[in-house]
Amino acid sequence: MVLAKEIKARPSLAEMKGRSCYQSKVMRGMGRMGSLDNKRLPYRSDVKLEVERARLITESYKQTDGEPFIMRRAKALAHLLDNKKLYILSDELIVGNICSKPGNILTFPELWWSWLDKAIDKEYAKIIEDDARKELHEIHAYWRNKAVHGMERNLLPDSVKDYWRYDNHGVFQWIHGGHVGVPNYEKALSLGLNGLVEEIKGKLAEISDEQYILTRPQEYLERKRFYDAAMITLEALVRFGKRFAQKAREDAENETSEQRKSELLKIAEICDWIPGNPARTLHEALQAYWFINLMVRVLDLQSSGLGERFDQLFYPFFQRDLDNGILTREEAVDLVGNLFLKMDEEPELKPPATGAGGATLITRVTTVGGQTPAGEDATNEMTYIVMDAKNQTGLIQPAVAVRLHRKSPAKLYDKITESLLKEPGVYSFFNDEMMIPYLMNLGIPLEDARNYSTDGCMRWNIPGKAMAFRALGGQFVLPKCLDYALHQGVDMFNGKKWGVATPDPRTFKSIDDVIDAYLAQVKFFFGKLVTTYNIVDILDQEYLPQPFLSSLLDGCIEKGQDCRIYKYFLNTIFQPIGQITVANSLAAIKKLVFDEKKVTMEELVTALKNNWEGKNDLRQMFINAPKFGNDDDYVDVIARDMQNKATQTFHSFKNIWGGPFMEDGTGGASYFAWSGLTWATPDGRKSADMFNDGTISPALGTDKKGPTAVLNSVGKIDHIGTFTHLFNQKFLPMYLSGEYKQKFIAYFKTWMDLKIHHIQFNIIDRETLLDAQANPDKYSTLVVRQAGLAAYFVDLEKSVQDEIIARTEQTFD
Amino acid sequence: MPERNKLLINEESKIIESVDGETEPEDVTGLIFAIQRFSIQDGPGIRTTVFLKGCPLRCKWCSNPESQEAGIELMVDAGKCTKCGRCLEVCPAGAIVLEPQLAVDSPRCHLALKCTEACLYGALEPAGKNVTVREVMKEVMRDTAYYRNSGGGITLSGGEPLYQPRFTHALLMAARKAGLHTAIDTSGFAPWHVFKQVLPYTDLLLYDVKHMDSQIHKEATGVDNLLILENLRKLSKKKVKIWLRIPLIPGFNDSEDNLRKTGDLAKEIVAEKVTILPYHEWGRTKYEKLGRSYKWVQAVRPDRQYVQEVKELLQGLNLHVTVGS
Repeated sequence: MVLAKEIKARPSLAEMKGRSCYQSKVMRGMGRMGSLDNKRLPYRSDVKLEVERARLITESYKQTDGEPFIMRRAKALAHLLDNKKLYILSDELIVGNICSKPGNILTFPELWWSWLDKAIDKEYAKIIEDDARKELHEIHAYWRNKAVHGMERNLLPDSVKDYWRYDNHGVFQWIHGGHVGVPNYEKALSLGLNGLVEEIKGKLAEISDEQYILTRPQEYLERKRFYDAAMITLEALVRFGKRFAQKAREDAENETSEQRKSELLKIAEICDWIPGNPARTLHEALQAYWFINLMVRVLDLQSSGLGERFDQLFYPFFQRDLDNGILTREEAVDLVGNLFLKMDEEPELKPPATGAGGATLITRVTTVGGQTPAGEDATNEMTYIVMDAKNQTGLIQPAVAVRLHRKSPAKLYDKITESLLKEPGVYSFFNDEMMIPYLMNLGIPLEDARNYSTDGCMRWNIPGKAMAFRALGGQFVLPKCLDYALHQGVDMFNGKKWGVATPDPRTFKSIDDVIDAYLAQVKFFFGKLVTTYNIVDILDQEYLPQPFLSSLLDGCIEKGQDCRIYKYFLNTIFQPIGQITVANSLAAIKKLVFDEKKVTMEELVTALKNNWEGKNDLRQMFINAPKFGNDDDYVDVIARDMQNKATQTFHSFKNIWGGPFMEDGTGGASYFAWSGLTWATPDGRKSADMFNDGTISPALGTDKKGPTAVLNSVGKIDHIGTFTHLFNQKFLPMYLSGEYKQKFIAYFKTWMDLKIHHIQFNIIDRETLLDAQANPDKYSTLVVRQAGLAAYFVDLEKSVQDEIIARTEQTFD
Repeated sequence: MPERNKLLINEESKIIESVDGETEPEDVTGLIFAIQRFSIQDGPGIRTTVFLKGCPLRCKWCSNPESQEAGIELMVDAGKCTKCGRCLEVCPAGAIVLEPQLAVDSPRCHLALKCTEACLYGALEPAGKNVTVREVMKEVMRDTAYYRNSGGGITLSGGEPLYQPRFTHALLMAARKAGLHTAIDTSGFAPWHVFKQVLPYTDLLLYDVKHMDSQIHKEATGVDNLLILENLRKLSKKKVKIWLRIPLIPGFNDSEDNLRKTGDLAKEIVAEKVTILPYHEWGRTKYEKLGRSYKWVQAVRPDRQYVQEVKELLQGLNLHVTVGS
């Protein structure tokens, strides 16, 4: 008689998500300039800063001194992969760790070190052990004058250098973000990295021809170095896989549970095969994806690495497994969920004094839905598997960007409403009906345009292509430019003339005079930002080549050029803030000063100088003036015109590839952090009060005509010259279910008709948020949309929490 | 509540239904007190509801007291007043006092409404506005895309839209011409010839039935229910769709007997849907602003459980029942 063996079921995703390794590491409350909530720790108390990555990278750089930077970069990454400590977490199906221990955070001294060097003795003293602190100080000493971020400061002329610090003048902040490019995962999964190595060897053979070298020595050297460096990194990642196979076998030997032992042996088998060889199953494909992602995104920290169209990429593997009878749909959800949990293991280290209100931000987005390159609906079973996995794991990484178009199936809308009720904060929506013509207008071919994805938080991307833009480049505070225009370039906080000397506002004869002065300030400050930007791009080309990512971007292998040099798309992005605050201000001036002549410029400027003190009635008149978001053409047309005029001004500058600078809406996420240095504005806002949220969301509490009027206003803004726009809406959960559900869906479809780029929702009732504010421990995984990004609500600074609670709740009645 | 804050009605601004027949339908004027976009409880889809001012009924629980009088009124919200004094400067009648708090002397006030323009803080606001059909349609048509995607349209509510038959008729015609789905939210208290006039332009009636007992109906609303029920039965023979609406007022119409009788009526007239509208007190502060007293103090807001029981009772009669708010 055979006894029935007791088989322990695998833990559910919901059980796994509660484990501390997947929880947010950041617990800050220090976002807004000047406000510091000392009661909150910067990081969870069990989180430690580790030195492993810094040590290994530095060891290698020391050994390669004198070599070309592309080789040094490649060798450093290979050294890291060959020597970093590996672990496999209990029950995990996708392996590949970032730090040497779960819950640790890592650092990138070759990029930056100076603020951290101070912080580990002060604000971050508790998150690092003493011996590690000592070692890190030593490592930092090596990187003095060698780390790339900030290197530009000594190269800039004084007239620009003085503007490097945001808090001097309050208009822009240079932010040295990573470079964006989504690997061609499809190619990597189908050829395997060994296949890429073969391709490169073929190219090397082509150029290793005496005649070629004789006639094109410079090109030869550039290509040879790129190919050598790319191969070093590709081969290193294949070895990294094999190290994991070995690790899984070792763990299996010590494993007592038969089931887990077989899981570990399967992992070993998979990691022996990929990423070197072509993936054959969904499990292999997901594992290979994670290794590549880990390399480009986490260990190199030069690229988001995300932005794939998840359902398009993995559906064929799923379907093949299903046909072969080796996988069920349930198991597929479990595998995808396991991958998502790995993304939540990712740590985040940020300077103590910056950041977005202490939020753990979504930095990973995966895209589903949309159209095929041929224009057919692309929704497939993997679309729903992704949403099921996300709804079960919750947590902040990755966010899911859903592409919608006229032919998106009704089933997808049903799934969206169901998902918004479960995890509203992690979904955002992108409009194919607007995006595809828009991308074509930018010169992107139709098939590539139909293949667009979202990466970062809401930036579009074309997977597999070498895009020029960075994840961040600079935040640009537009209301501060208006502030300078109304005070002849003088900063009202410190009395210094940081702006350009525009005419005395008391002489302004029409709203056009105000606009001219405003645009003159925009141009003045933007020139300084661009100078910085361009210098930094050249430094990045020199010091931070990306041989691994480049080998996965179309065209780089063929041309033998790093993606810092070869570009598919030349444009660069930066992040303007406060557009609607400017539009509302200009509308109020136009109406009260120039149309109705109820107020003089003199009265207005004096009242602004006094921060509206003693002028409550006057201020109220400006508050009552038309506000964007009410489908009122008076102000909406100004908002549209100002958008276009600002865009023209930005486009008059060129980046180092000759492309224009485009406005990226993600900066709107930081409206609360960057509004503190702007004086009183003519929309009735007092000094340091917050701007509007997002780039085209109405200012807080000023949209009084309901959600259709808001959409109509937003729909009037031209998107054509800008990069992305950010738009938030908030609904009560009841409106997504029962008899209202179809109406919500109709609202959604109208958003599409109005050709608005993006929309995201907070679907949480006020009571829940208030309860979460009072009982943070109960709601540690509650994700909210906070401007452009998602964040854990309980991690946010209280004033930001209050603002989210106060933000107009759109109701249907 | 100071005595002088009493009801203020401008007799002259009352709508006089034009009978000259020369006015273009789009130029017909009506008195409204609100246009609410994104209404989702007043018929199918996403709709815009136009609230007409003036009602022949005086339901004691009415949540829109500013809808009742057929003239522009002045709403006074002393809580919003900053005592800036701008209203004093413009009032031709000297009818405003600021101490001890903002108040308007109703016999003196001639409703020049200058104060409502001067006030920056919303403490003095007009209730009611004369508008043309053209003006209303301009606002309504702004949400056309939502109507198309949702099967929505325009709803005329009030007050009692049939109390301004010419305006309602012209507005419905204009909406129909524009291809919109049309609905009227009515108390049913209107002459049959008025119904006959608007029916060709009406897709749906949201028809209130407040009580089946005529005497009780009269006590609480000021009118008996004979005309209302007679009209309803006649309408059931027409092709217009009817959604019956029952304001659920505890202690007034929620006896099992009355609910069953109402349900039976819904069956009899083949109502497509029955909607329960649970009583609420959201309109209470508006009485204060209008200088009136709230007459329905005995009722409590029915809780969710109770509403569910009522819903089940009606569903037991084989009716399609929904709950509004």
